[in-house]
Amino acid sequence: MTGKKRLSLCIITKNDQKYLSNCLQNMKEFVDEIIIVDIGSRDLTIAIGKQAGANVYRMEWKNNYSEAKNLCLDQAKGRWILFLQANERISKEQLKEMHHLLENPNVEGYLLYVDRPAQNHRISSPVQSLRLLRNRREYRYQYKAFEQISDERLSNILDAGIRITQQADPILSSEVDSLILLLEEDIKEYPEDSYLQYMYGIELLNQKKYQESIVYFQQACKNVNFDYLFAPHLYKCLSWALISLQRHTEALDVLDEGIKVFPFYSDLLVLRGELRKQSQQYEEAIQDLERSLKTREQLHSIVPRPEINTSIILETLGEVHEKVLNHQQALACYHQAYELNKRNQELLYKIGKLVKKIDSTEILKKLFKVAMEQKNLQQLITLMDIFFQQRKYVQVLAHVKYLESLIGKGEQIESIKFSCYMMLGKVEEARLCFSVINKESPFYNHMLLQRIENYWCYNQWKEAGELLEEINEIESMENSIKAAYHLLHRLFTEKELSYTLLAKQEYEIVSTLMENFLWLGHIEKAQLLLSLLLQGEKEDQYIKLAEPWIEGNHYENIKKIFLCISNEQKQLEFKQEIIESLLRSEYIETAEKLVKLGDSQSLGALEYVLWSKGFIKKIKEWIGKIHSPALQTPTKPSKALVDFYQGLGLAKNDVNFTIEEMTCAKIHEEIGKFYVKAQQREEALSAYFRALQWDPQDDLVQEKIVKMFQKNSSQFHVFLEEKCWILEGGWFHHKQEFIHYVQGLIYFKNQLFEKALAAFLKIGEDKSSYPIAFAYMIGSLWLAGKEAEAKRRLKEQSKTSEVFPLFFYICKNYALGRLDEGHRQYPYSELIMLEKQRIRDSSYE
Amino acid sequence: MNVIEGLERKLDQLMKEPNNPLLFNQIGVLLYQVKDWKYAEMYFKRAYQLSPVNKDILYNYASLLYQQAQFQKAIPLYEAYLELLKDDKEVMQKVRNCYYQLGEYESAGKMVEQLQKV
Repeated sequence: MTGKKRLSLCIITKNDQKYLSNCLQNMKEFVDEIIIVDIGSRDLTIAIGKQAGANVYRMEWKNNYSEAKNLCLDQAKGRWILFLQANERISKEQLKEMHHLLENPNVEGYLLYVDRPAQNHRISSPVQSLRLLRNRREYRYQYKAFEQISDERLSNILDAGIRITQQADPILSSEVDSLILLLEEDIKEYPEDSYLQYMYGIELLNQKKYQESIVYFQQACKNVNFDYLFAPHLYKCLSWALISLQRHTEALDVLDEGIKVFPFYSDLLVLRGELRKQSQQYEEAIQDLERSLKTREQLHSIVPRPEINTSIILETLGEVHEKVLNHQQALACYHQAYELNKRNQELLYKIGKLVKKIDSTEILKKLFKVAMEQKNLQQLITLMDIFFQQRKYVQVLAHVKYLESLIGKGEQIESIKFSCYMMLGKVEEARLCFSVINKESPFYNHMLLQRIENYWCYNQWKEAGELLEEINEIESMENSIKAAYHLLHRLFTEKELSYTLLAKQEYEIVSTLMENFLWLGHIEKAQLLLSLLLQGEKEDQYIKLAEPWIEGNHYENIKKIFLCISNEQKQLEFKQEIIESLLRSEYIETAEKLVKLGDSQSLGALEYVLWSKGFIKKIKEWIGKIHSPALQTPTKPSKALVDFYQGLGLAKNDVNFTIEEMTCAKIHEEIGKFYVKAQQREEALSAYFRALQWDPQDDLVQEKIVKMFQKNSSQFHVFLEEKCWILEGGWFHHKQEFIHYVQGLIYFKNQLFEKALAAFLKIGEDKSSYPIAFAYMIGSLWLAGKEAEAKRRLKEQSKTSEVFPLFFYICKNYALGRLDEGHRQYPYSELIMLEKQRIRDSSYE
Repeated sequence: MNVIEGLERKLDQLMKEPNNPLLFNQIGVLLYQVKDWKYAEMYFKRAYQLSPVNKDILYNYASLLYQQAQFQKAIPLYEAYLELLKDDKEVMQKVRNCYYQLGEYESAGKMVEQLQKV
């Protein structure tokens, strides 16, 4: 090669014969020269290096890594330097990519991240990742260990997006201790150096000496320059040490400051999100985690690269969404997280749990299809397990054949089939499966126990007793399990409730059995087991214990469980989880009863949803299912009005409606908006009035009018009562009638129902707007709690079929208004959004 | 000099020149400023009677009527103004608004068309 070399590979070696030749083989064709500085090998390292064509320099080891690296730099001829250890490799694809990076004229160095399988949980500094840099005279390393080129000298560093794989080396791992000794010497020499303080803090953190590490990190924070490469990581380490010691408030302060200074270092946002999650500030946690995900979209430009990966952030975000009962969003997060990290089978179970909750099996079906296509056995087994847990026995039986084709026939497959058949009541088929199981097999015991459970189910006490005797003889079965089954047998046959506390394993057996009995419809037996389980005082399990009782709307049993919870926070969590599930199944009354149990506690967003569901249900029950004519058909606008509207250029802006779809009310509303934009308030109000005259129930227009009233009520009154505006549409024929209507609406919207009633009452029965005013009267009475009077007045009316849809519409809008309030308070609540959608979609009929 | 003082001075002047339309107009403006709409209208009306083609008087009188939502009366005054000053966008918009307020959408649409040409 002639001219200036491009890339020099530099390696510091000591007794590396085991790895060196592989490393050189891997790198040879991608670099222009290889420099090896050996610091005292006694094996064949030097010979291997020379044989591979490297320039090998021996150096007397003086406990100083900087000296060794600087010798490499002195000898290297390339424009770029790549530092590797002998036990490190870079894939060929990535090496090709690396050559493109060397073309960038604006970069002085690149960070390459090192995968250390043997030290996965060790924290390391991004400074140690600066492996690729320009060969300049001014770039020289300092410090004996954890050597660094001063940040004052080296800037313009980018992330290479290239990973180095390090092979585990026990000798290298033991060298960490000697490195720390050297670091201590350095820190004695330069006690105020922020980099050394930070590195020493990291080493203390690795030794779990949190308290001591904090002292060094805090000193480093005082001395650090925010431009330093390690500065964001320093803040992360300090906050992590504080979190480990449960000093959350201080950790939050550090994170707040860190986020201000390093807004793109998403790890700080993730840690703050996690802290906020722990302190139940869920909405703030969502904000932080979403922001961190957004920041990571520009990951390539963030230096140093944040370490917490997207899959973990998504999983954490999913957990927060679950906490605030945003199940759909949680599901989406877990799904995305799983797509990014398919090794995490735990995520599949989380997905399964949510799928069951929201009754949406699409994701599982998709995942199963992909697993089948890819023949991913682990994923298939996990998914089958999820289907089994969800009692999709028919589905499991259908898929088990495929599984059989992959792993072959065997006892595992037969045991799955046996369990499914037993649960489906297909005893003969189950017996066939059982017959092929060897008595010595681990599956045999499990199947035997299931058979006992099945006999209990159908009151076949004698047969169950015989099998119990059989299990007594089985040595491989734990005695505690045998005892548990004998206890259960006595419980069913003698109705004797033993006060033995159940250990964890027995508790699991009994709770699964309770769920099975419930699923099979044996309520009494399930109740017996519930009493037994409640003796265990395992309050953490009570939500799970109550869940199977929701399906059958068993309030008494849910109440029984709730009354056993002593802790207020746990009571609240129980209420939130169970009420949400009850509402999902439309068991509104049960949910309302559950709220009243225990101390009164705020249920957050759920409170709005519970209110709304109860409110709409009550109204629907009251008005019944009377088929009635639809609300007045919206009037089509005249050509002149459409021309005017189009002339104003408004038609172009409205993407939601075509001209043909526009109604008089809609056009005037749009004109109102036009005048608002032009800051012509009275003109706007007049346009909105006209929209309301055409469609007195248009909620959006109503809101706009009320807002204008709130902005300046006296001016509003003057305009309404004194100014000249015209009447249009078929509802109002006298100005005074419309004035009463507007006044009534304003009171109604402000929840002043008595005043609203008085205003609406002024509209006479002979007026065309009377039905709608009357509907508002009924609504006002109803919402003021005067239901009896509302019913009485309605009874006096002959045209109830005309009033009911109007009344329902009014109530719907009222409920939407309340939910909007809730949305403002809990902007991330999926429950409120879904309830709003449900109400919008709900029809009177 | 505050509005009241100005008003007194103008009224004194008016005693000397009882047929001066500009004085009537100026008094109308001062009354408009103190939100005495009724008397402002009276003075503008007199000014207009005395000088029906004065653009300032036309504009002021029409604006007062517009402010009072007397759109029907304001329209001919604005239109007379536009005879004198054809392309006054602001006044054209006022006429457009008057027609809209009166529900005369065809005329409102025509005014929009004219506005687009300016």
